[in-house]
Amino acid sequence: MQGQVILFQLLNGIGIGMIYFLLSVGLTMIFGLMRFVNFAHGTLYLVGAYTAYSVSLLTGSMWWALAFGPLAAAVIALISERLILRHTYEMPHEAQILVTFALALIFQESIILIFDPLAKNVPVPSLLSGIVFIGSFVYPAYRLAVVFAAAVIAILLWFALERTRFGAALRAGSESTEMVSLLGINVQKVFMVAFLVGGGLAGLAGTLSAPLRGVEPFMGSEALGVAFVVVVVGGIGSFTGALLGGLLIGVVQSMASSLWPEGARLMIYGAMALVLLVRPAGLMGRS
Amino acid sequence: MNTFSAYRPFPDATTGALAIVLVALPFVLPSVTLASELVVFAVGALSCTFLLGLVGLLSFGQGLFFGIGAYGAALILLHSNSGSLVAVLAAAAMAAIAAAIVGFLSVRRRGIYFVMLTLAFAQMGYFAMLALKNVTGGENGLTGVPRPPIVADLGVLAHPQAVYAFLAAICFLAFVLTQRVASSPLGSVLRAIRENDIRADALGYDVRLFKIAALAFGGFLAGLAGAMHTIFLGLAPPNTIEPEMSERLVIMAIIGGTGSPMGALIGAGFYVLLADFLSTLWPRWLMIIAFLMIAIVLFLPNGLWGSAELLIGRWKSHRARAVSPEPVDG
Amino acid sequence: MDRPGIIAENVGVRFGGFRALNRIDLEITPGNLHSIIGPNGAGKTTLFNVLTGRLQPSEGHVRLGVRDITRMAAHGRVHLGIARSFQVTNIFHNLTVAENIRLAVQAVRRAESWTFWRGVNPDLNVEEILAATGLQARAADRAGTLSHGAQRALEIGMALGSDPRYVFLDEPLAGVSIDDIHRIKNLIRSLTPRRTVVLIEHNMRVVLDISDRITVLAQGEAIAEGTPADIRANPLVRAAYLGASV
Repeated sequence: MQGQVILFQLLNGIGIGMIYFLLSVGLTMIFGLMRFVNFAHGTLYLVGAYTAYSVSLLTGSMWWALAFGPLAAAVIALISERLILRHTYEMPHEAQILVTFALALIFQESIILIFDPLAKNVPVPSLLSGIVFIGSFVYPAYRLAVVFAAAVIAILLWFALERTRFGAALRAGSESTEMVSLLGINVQKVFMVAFLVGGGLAGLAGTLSAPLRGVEPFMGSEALGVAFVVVVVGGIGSFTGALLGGLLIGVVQSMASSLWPEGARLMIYGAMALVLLVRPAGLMGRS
Repeated sequence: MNTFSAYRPFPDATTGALAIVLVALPFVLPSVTLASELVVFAVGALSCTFLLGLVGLLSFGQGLFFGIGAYGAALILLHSNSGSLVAVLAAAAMAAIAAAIVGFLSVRRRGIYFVMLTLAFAQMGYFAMLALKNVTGGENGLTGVPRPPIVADLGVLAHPQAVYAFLAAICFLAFVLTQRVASSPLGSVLRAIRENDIRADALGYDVRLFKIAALAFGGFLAGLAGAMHTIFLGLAPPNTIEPEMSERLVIMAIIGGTGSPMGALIGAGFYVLLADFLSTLWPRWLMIIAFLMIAIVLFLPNGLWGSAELLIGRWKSHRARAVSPEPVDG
Repeated sequence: MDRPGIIAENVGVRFGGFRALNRIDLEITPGNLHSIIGPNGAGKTTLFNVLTGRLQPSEGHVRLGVRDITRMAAHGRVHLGIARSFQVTNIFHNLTVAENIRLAVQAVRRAESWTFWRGVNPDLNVEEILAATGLQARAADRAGTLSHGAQRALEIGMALGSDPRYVFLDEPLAGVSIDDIHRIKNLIRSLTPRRTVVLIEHNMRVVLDISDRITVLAQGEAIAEGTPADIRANPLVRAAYLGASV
């Protein structure tokens, strides 16, 4: 039995970890590209989750939600980049942080305005609402699907970063934006795509987690904190770091929840403090 | 008057102005309760103003220390016979120690990383409060906290007026202490670190250690405010340690302006009064505050107080020119 | 007077795959004016950063006499009497000139720097440095408002604030007008033999004129060391660096 509990929690942890990865990879990518920390990043997760909630309520299908959640977040990321954020690139970091933080507040209040401050449940897609048997081991199908979906996206993302012209521009841009413009690539366009993709992934994280944890207006600011923990642990600006950091944090949280349920969320910060002590630059970070 | 921007003698005109404002507040405001709330948050905002204005550290984690002060004071008052003053000071000291520990971990990273860490640690505080519900009361917080006399039998805190007088006195001392630190040799080092930490290091200053000390002092101020909050309410609710508390203190500091301690008073006053006014009109008033904050960051980077100071300065020099005799032509 | 030298042993610095410094052995003799020259990118500032503690070498050791200070932070070395100036002017732009120097002087009085209950100490010896650097008249001005030449002088003044035994000056004459060059050159020369000076400088005329010893770096390696006369005569140096101009 004990072994099954551990396996169960480990799988849960990997699922949560993959969601954390999707949540954080955009943040770390955008930071690597333009030294810009978006305190409104958690908002995109929030938007993804609430879109999933609304769409599944309207259409009765979680499948539409899976399409619209990331889309809504991506569009909002793009619009806020074009309308507001790009005007702050030349400002001090403090100003960027405060403006994006204020944006996050505005979105959070808007969500409460449109819906209400109460937490709501989101149904699991009917096709995935069952359980799967792996030998004698029983596991919820939806959680397993989350792990697979996120893994597929991680591989696609890795491929896009490593094997495409856009990925090369993105990686070059994180070294030097000047170099990118010298190569004749439109830096503005790279920024836009980074926001679009990063926002969409954070939205997807929100969408995927909605059936697992429900939605509530403050999940965005909570997600921002988790994303920060992931990038601090993984090393900021690193794709692999976000993946490793997300998985580590997810597994720590899941394992801790079987040992000390009230302290599970506390433990992820403990893990962060430990990494800070041992490797201040993060697991994959360059100092 | 911009005590944080450049070296200024101590005490200055704002010290006297602060005393007058604190005495006048309960008579000017609609209720003494509102005045008490204002001075509590003035001290809380001061912790952010001090860190950002003097040392250049943007902390999204002051709510953690506010919460430690609030819960610390409540625990001391619930479980010991100490007077209110001892409880407040001890709780602030606990917050200072916690801030030094968090600071030790956070100053390993600079700039944006530091800000991210402060936010993460603030959330950690909230989850720690939930996890330790035997001590903290979990979602219910700590209730029925007594409000004993200030010291031994002296200074009975039975009336709201007496509570205000006690809190206003602490607020005054906290501001004076902050002004004193800012205009001391230590303050000059912190200002140098804000200006150029690489140079400060090359001059022989252990930048990390000074930052930790500054964070401990910031934690002390936030903890003081939290403990004052417990005295004010007679309970320690969970929202004193929620990440929203950190955000609120930052917003107050930014709105007021971080160039001088007075910015914290103005920012907290503006926020508390606006919230008191708006919350009866529209429950989503926080959205207005957020728009206001964007406007201030983009158009009034010195905040309300800093901009007012600039205006006063211009008006004075304008008047000086107008009064001085015009040079006589030919 | 006990005056140990600063010794670099087999110092190497790598940035990723790039070797910025390779097996540098160097001894800075007390009381000397020791210049480090070489073309751009030779590793001069990297060597400075290793010797003053801003950068830890990938390999090798830095010693002060018999004491190993390889891992000691820059601020710690200041308290052993090692101070530096920067190639790109690195001052507190928004503070006054006097405050810039006062901070430099105060840095080595540990108790003073932690004092928070009173104003700053007016007894700190700021005037002397203001006089030596010719900045008395500008003492109350914001450092950012100084001319480039005056900022370079302030940069040196700040390095002297801790009354150091070893002063590392990184291109103190960079961008300085002809009138000021002579003054700053005399200021640097006057520091020895009471202090040991390590100098990075591109102005060959000044270097050859005032140095006691010169080390030549090229592509991260020390290719020659000697007196100005040795260096002037060294064919390797002529080929690598000095060209036909000397």
